[in-house]
Amino acid sequence: MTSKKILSLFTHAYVVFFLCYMLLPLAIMAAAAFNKHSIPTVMPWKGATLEWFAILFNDGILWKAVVNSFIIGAGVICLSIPIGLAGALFLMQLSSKARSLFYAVMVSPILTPGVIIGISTLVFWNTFGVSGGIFLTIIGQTTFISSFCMLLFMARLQRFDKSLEEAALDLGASQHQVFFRVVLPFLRPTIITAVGIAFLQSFENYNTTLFVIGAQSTMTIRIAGMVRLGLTPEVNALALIFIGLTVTAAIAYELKRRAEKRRQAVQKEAAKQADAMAPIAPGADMVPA
Amino acid sequence: MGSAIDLEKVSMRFGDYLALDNVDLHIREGEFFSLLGSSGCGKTTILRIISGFLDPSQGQVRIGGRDMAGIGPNKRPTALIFQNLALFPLMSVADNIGFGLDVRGVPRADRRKKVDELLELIALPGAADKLVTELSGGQRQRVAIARALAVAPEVLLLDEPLSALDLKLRQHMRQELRAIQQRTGVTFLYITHDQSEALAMSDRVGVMSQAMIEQVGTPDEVYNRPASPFVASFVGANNVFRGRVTRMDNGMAVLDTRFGALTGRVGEGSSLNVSDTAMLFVRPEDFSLANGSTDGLNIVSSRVRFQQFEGAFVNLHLENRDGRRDLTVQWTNRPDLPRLDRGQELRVGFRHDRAMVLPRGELANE
Amino acid sequence: MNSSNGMFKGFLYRYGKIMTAYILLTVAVWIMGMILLPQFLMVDYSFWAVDEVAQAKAMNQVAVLETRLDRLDAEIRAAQKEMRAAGDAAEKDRISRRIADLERRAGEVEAGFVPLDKAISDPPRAYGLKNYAYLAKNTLHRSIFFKTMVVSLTVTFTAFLLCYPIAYYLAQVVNKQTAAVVFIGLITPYWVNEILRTFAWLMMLSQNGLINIALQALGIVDAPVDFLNNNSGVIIGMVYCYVLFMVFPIYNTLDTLDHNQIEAARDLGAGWWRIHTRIAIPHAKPGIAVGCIMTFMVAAGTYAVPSILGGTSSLWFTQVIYSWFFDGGNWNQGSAYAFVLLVLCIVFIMAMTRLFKVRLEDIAK
Repeated sequence: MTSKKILSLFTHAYVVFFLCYMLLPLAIMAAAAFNKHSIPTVMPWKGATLEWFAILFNDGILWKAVVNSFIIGAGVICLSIPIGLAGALFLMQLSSKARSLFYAVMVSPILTPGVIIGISTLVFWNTFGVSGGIFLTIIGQTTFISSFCMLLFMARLQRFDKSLEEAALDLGASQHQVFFRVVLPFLRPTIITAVGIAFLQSFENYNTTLFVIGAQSTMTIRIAGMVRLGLTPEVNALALIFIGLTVTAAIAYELKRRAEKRRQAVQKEAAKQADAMAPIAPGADMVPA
Repeated sequence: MGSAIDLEKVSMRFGDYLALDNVDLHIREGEFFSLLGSSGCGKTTILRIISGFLDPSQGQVRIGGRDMAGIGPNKRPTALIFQNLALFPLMSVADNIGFGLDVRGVPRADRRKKVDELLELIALPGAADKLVTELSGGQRQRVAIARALAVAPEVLLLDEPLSALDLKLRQHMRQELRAIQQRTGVTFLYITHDQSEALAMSDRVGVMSQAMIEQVGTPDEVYNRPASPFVASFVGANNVFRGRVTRMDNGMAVLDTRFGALTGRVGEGSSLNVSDTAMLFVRPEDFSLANGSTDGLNIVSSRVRFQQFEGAFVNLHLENRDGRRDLTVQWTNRPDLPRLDRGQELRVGFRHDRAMVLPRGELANE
Repeated sequence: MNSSNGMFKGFLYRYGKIMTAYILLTVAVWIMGMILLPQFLMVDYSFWAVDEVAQAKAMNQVAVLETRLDRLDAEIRAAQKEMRAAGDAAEKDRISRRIADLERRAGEVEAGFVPLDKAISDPPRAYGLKNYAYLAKNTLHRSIFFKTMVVSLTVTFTAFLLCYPIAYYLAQVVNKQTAAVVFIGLITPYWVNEILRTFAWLMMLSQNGLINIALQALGIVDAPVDFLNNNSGVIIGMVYCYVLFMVFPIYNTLDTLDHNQIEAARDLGAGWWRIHTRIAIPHAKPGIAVGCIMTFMVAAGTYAVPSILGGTSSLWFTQVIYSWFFDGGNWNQGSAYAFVLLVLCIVFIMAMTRLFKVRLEDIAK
């Protein structure tokens, strides 16, 4: 009994330690954004200031890179969602043998180091005279982000009840109408998730982008440059904004999830009540014996 | 009355597996037809071939006299009610019911009118804007029927739609389905493994076994005049006596069995000769106590094994003298039933014309 | 042929003509144009090198032609001068014919540049294993490769040790509400940019960073430890950055473990060690394999962490590849190095799937 208590205490202590390990560096990084000291640090504390935020907001080069990141992110979304969806629909229709072969090829970009995706994209397009830049970055990132999207769509499609499709066909819908009226609405939540994930992946990508961005820059590339050369707490100010956005998004997501759960519970309750008021036979008594 | 559905020599092969073997089936316009069979007998295959989700390996399918080869499920005048109903979970009740009209380009106002009509028919007025997830099991059932009826199909195909419901609701829905069918006059083809369902609702029943249709007939014909040992043993309970034909006389046959010589009516269309092996079937409810005249009766001497009280009925399990064969007898519960003890000798009888003699064949092993 | 025909019919039947065309075309472009052909081309690059002898020869010939062209130009100019000075028409005619002859010869020489220019800008390729031989012979690059491999394995193993208890805790010990809160704590750093995550550890590990201040205050060390110029900084940073690639796969598998199994084992007298080694870890095998594969792959393939946390004396293999492409300008050599890295990852994936007896399909998460 006591040994169990010690073990439980130890486990909880470890979890707390682990959370500190995950979060403390970020907290310190964020805190240093307010230190007057001209290099990013919390020790020694030279007094609070907001000047690093002012410098951040006036950093034209960085904002230009941010614009590039958004352009690339948008391009990646536009390409990787249709590709991922096509890939998932393609695999679902294959026999199991062909499926595992194609599956291996289509998830391989996830299992390939990002630098190699970047290099192969660069080398391939170079033969057509296209050199590094925003276009090539979109292509390179799309290569592996499509795989992520495909996995998301596959997971959702596996829960799709094929009889819905057949019901729609049976009611006279064309294959087109079936897809746009039945399958696509079913996939809608996944499309939204996939858009979010594709954008995040694109926005934060470094290893692939490094090889295909050419003379252009993205926010991540720019931050890496700032971190490696000439470091000021401007980076910390940026990091703080990032962390703020992340935490807000995470909490919003969690709240939405709980609201959704409540909504489902209410629906279930409604269905139960409908059951309780069991249907009275409409015209059943009119049945000729 | 014309033909709603005709299957001519339809076979279906999945690789090496023969799911349908040269099936002929003719369903009349406006009738409630049930296909009865255990799982894997091919009844769902027939349904999917008629609805167009499967192309038969051989044979012809006609609906309303038109050949259906090369016509997809979305172009056929059929509507299918799925086992799991397959209601679209993201659409409201009205959108579900109106779906078939919507994809045909019917304008919103006309659609709405039709949907309201159908909601009236299924006694769910006011449920139009509800979500499918908010409905009870029986209500979903009715919405699925309305959705199928909305496209004004010539034939409604139902794939065991009641199997997910509990017993009480199921019995209620039987009446309701029958009522809707009679009100709309649409041909219903109903697939089920539940014989009481098939017998209770249908105008005619087709009994299936192993890729073939064994018998087609009214519920009464199928029950009282089974065409094969399979049908005799599959539809309702039946006692079977095996034996050799010793005499044939005017549509009646005498069999030598372990219970002695028994006489029965020879099944229509089955040819039997003296010294053929045959089977004699008699329903548990056709037995009576043999104490009096034995004219026109088969008499069986037996011993009581045990008795089961079921409320309205009493089931009596008997065995023959050497304890090797048993039979089941069912009596309705009456105050004058004799008290029977285990091991007690008992003579029971049944009328010659209530026994059915068929050539030996395969039985349904339930 | 028959089955592919059937497959095609299946597509048409299910999706109709336009959708089928969209699906097949898109998938074909993705697989061929974005995955396979680029990879093949990279591998192709790695097996050839510029034929330097031929290139040098062409350059020499260009120099020879250039001097010849210069000489002809000079002669033409001299002739034009003579032309202006010349008096009678016959002489003019003679000179102009000479100029025409000279110009014709200059034109011939110029035409001679075309194949040579091509030979220099797109030099002849010599196929062979030269690029790989270079890696095998270069002791520095070889040692960087092995270091990358060993350190990545260390990172993978450390991440597993750190993560397993957390994943188990989240999946089996704690209730869903608390787990959701802990999840937010775990996901937050994951959503923060990889560069910024690494930067946070740069602050922690620098000469006057928090860790050194703490170590000195506790009297463990006298002088600040130089984490950034040995591999320790890189290891710590990578474990931090990639730890979640390990947590989630393991969590996902442990989450499906029926808690009754653990209680049954406990009921039968198993201690906590046995419960983990006999029940939980075998059940989590696919998750562990996936976690290890992902962690190893991102660790071996990263450029960000070592370029920020590693000093000049602790280069990563990806950094060598990068310098071949953008400092050395030798894409062939770089492609060879990249392919070696790819093979390392493939070998690791195969070893893990073999070791843990999981299939590639199970990796979909």
